[in-house]
Amino acid sequence: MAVINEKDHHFPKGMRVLAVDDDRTCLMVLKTLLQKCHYQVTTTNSAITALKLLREKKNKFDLVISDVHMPDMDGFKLLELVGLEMDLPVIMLSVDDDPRVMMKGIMHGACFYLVKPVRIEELKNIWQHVIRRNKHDSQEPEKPSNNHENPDSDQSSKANKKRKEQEEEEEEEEEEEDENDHDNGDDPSAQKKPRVVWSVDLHRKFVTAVEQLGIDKAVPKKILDLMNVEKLTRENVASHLQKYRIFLRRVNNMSNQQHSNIGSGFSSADTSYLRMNPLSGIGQLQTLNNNSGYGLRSFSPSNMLNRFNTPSALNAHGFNSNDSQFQFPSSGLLGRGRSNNNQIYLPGGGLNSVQNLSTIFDSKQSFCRQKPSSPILGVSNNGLILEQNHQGGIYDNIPNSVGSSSQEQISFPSLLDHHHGNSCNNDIWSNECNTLMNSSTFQGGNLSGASSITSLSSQSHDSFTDLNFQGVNFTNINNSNNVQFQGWNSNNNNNNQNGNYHALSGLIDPFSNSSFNRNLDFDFCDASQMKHDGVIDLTEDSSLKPHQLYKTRNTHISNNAGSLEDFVNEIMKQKQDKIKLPEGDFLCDNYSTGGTSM
Amino acid sequence: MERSQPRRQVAAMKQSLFDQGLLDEQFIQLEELSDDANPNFVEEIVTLYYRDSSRLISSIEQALKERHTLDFNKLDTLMHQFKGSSSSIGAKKVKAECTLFREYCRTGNAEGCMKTFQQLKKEYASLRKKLEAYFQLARQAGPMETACRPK
Repeated sequence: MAVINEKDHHFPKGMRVLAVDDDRTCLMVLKTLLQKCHYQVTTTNSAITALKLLREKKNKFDLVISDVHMPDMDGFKLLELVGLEMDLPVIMLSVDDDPRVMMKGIMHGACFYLVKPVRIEELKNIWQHVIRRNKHDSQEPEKPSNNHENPDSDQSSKANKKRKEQEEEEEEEEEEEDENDHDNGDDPSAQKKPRVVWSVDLHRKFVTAVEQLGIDKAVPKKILDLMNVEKLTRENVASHLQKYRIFLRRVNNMSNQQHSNIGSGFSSADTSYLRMNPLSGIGQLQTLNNNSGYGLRSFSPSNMLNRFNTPSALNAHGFNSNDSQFQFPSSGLLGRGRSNNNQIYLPGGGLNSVQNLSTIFDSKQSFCRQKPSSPILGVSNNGLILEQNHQGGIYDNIPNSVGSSSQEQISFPSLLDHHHGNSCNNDIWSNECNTLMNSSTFQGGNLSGASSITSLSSQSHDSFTDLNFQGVNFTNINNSNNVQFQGWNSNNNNNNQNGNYHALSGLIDPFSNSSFNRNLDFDFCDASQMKHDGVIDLTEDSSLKPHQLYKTRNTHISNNAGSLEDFVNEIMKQKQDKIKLPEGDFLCDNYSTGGTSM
Repeated sequence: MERSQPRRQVAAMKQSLFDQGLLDEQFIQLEELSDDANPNFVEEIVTLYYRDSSRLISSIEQALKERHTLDFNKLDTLMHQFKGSSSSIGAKKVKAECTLFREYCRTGNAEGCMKTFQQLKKEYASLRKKLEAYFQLARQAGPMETACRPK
């Protein structure tokens, strides 16, 4: 609040705004409007110059208003960077009034999204965003150490960003996410307490605790006890848990959506990745991360994660492992060309990693938000409808670079990937990358995504149901869509094609890691991702033995079991068809070994 | 201020521009931004608009010459930008054509794009002429008062 205090008496007058827009006409209009509001305006029509200005004079600006579409740098990227480095409120501006793009903007951390032409009335109130942000920031007496936990300035900025995102999320979720409040009895308003920065470590502890308890049983009090972190209140945990669940749900949705998008884009032949997360959400989470080289590296691999090995796999897919790491949205994970914008950029997937989670949460914002926009995502929809919806901007942005995938890369939430452990670090992104790579197609992805997420969020049963449902839709490509997810067994792993299988295996056997996860072999990123979640590879027939998968799965997924199993079974069946026996054998092998590296 | 003939003419002309759907609220807002410091603010903006957008128009035209291998993404991007500028000055009809154009881009309808673009160019040119006349008249009429909303 320091900045604001100085000007308290006549704030918002004199508020220092940096306006960025490559269009000179718009910029001039904007500048004049802002001046009419008595703000101090600096303008530039290059995002790069804007960044430079911001970096040089960190405290010289209170607010940034930026256009979305700029030639030298994408507005979303600028948004991220500003949020990360300077933690200034950013307002996006665009003539585009597509709610999906708006959502994306908000998810990326924008305070607000204005549609051109901007009216002066709207500008008169933007100063509130500055005040609000400062207020939140100043309310963070606790956990200052969170930032210290991240020695990297990079990480701390990430933490800041996360915090910012969380903040945004909080504000935005309060209205929307009531229904997500399952076990979390906390009042969302509790989130407004002094902000806790959910650093990677903290998040990791959180995830570990959640996993230990089981997503269904993870109640804030118990989580708090398990985490054993000083100064962390139950409310903090509760709100974080809520977000986490939402995140999972979104991931599911996204994957579903993705799949649908991807499905369309991808050759149907490949089975979409099945991201079946649901199952082990927790178990898988552990595996997630780190494996993949994926950005998550930064996370300390949770024990499980290593299971999935093949971190390289992830990279292979084109994820950039590490780059994404916390980089929220920009690049990296998604592998997509656009990474930045991709909303889903979940670094290092894998719920396990704390980071992921944070990212997830952050990214969640991005993709979670997508949820509403895309019909596809909703698990409630037909399930995996592979339609191409481009519902959410997120998916739209997914660069096709990944490979072919005409569709966007499925940016499945990292959750899915996480399961794989390595494979796709949970991120969906990795999945996407994978998928894109080969593109095999996620088709299944949606299912898993959805399921996984759901499962994670204590809605496991629901998710399963969804899964099933989706599974049905999945019809991927090759086989009946309704393949039930047979299981993620290692069987799946072997499927090279089907990353899914791997994913499946992953799911079933979170500990078995490796085996399927990441099937990087096939580039099908998703496959790996899917694996853990149980993503079902609808890809080619896999010869997975359903029962095998099923078995494994059952053990793990006890909670979710029901539908998931069915789903898996279905998928497996599909896969089986596709997968040749040899693969199956291989899978079996993996299965027993519990994880073959891909 | 005196109710001179020119002033009335200016007001009438402006009214007609609105009636024809060529301009929208944004234009009014721009006029409201004019003050002693920026008496010709609107004219400046419009001039700037036409200067910058002519480049955009020719880029789009160039891109449309590809005929059979239109790069819809690129067209969409260019048009998006053009739409942004146009909306900033309140060019209602032009903006509507932009939206239509982008829709055609989205659906990959090349012919639709071309047709719409032709229409857009017409609107764009016609608006330019009309605004030029308007500003000229306004200048003659003397410093403008704060814009009054057309009925």
